[in-house]
Amino acid sequence: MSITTPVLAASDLSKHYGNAAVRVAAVEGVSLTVERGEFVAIMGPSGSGKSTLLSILGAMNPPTGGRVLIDEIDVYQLRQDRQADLRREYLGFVFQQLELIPYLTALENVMLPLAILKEDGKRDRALAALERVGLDEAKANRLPSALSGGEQGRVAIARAVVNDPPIILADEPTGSLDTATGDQVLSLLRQLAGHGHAVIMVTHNPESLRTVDRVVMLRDGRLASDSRVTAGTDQLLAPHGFCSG
Amino acid sequence: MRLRYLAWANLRRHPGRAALNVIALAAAVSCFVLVLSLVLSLRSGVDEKLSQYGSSLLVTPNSPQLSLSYGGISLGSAGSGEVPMMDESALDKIRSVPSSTALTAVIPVLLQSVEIQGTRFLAVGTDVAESASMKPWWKVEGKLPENSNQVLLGLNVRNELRAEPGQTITVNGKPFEVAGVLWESGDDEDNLVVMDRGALADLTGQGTNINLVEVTAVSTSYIDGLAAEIEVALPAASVATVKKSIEFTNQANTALADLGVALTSLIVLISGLVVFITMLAAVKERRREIGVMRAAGYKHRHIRSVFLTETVLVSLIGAVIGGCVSLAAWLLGGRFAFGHDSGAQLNPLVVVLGIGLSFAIGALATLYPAWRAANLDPVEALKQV
Repeated sequence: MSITTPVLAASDLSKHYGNAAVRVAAVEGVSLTVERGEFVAIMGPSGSGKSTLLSILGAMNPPTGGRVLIDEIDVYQLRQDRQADLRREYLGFVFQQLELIPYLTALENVMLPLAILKEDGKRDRALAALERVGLDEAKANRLPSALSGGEQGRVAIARAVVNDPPIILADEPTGSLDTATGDQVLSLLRQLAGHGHAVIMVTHNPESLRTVDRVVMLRDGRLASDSRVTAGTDQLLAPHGFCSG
Repeated sequence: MRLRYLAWANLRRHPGRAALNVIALAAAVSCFVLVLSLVLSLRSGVDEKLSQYGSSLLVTPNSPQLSLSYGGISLGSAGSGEVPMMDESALDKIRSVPSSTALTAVIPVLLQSVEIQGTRFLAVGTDVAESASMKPWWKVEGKLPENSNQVLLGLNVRNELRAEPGQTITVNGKPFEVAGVLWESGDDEDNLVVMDRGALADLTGQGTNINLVEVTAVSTSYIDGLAAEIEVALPAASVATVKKSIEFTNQANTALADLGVALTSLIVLISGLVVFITMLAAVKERRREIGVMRAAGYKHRHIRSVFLTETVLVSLIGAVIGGCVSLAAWLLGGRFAFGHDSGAQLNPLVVVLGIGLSFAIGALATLYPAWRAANLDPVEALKQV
């Protein structure tokens, strides 16, 4: 059992859409904590609120109720500019479609979060991030369209870690990739957790259970289960409609 | 990598869109610079004429038969006969008007047809030196006549006679030396032979008769009052003020300027709309990119900055091209329109204002798109397919 302070703590989160007459609860009463070095998968059927929860945890979507603490900072008590600072310092995002900017090279894509900083050595930091995910300088100077799907995934992860944030949020990062490439991405995220990053990943992919530490199950926006992955987790997920190959 | 690099990279990605914005802004700048320069030149021309000639008026006999254009003023209706006369006594009456202290010169002028080498020309008999002092626009090749045996030729007369300064010509059978030739003025002075009034009167047997009187005043502010007083003193004469003539020209210029300003405003509006629409389309197209930037910690001002920097770059290129186009058009068209010695020059301040206009159009047209981009909900932006 960890005795460290969780890098992320969410309590009683809710997110409602619509108006008083028609109200839809995307997330309802969800609480969870994540520690550094932990690799957490958020799973659940489509429409269960996984991506909404991730965006709330990512300081991009204010909840209707509850609060999110990142490194003990109450995220949604901050002004918007400070929330942006917090995203830059504490959070790295990996998106389902990877969202690489097509007219920037791999290196420039990785430098994107650094472009707003007034400091030297940005290029070196970006190259180091690329090296960390296994891409050399030759690949760094290519446009995303000249890279394979796996390489694009690596660039997206390098962009997420270039600021060395303690928390990585990944929204179905393997969703648009083939199995082999998806495995590479999962492996990289696992490595990041091994280096002390808290990795929170929304996924539909039961294969990811082999790499994560913990599975948070959502159903209809509510927390259905929150369990550590063990040999019997497959059986645990089965009632929720998941099974690993 | 800095934010401005993102703007530059996106411009390179969409060269067609960037070119459209540049063309729109360049058109606005060049149109603005040309029209404003034209307006300023016309106004300065009028002001210059007013300051040069505005203090003068012409007194002529009232006659529907008078067909005379002299000193830049059309003095009467059509007719080809001899022009009507006044007596020298008119000069005393003019010098005796109540505001006579405002008079600086009263110069009698005799206009007569003369024959020179078998061709008839209009000769102007006057006090040449005094008359020349009232006509600062006169530029003479050679010199002004210094005695009654010398004449000054208009350019067309010189060309017709092939006479150069220093040569002798025969006027109504009497030899005269050509003292000088007037530079091309583009008006009736090109067709005149200017000489001493006494000499012309002797040649034509006119004695003390005169056709008109040139009057100058110390200031344009006296002109209207003097004109009214002279009309009272000489009921059979009409008084034309140069000032009125120039003011009429000024009215025509103002109408032209208004048209130019309206056209420029339209072009500025259209160029602004072009920039606005293309930037709005760019925001829509780059929603996901903006979502990624917001997720990466970009603040609202950073997003705005990306779009505004893009506009600044486009505005700069548009301003430079527009400035060059207007300069070229001014050099080519301006000289054609104003003539070789108009003195019309492109005002550097107008060019600077044109460059400023390019930035102003770009910035104003981008404010809303940039604001919209900065305020995109990152979650919604990333949801868009």
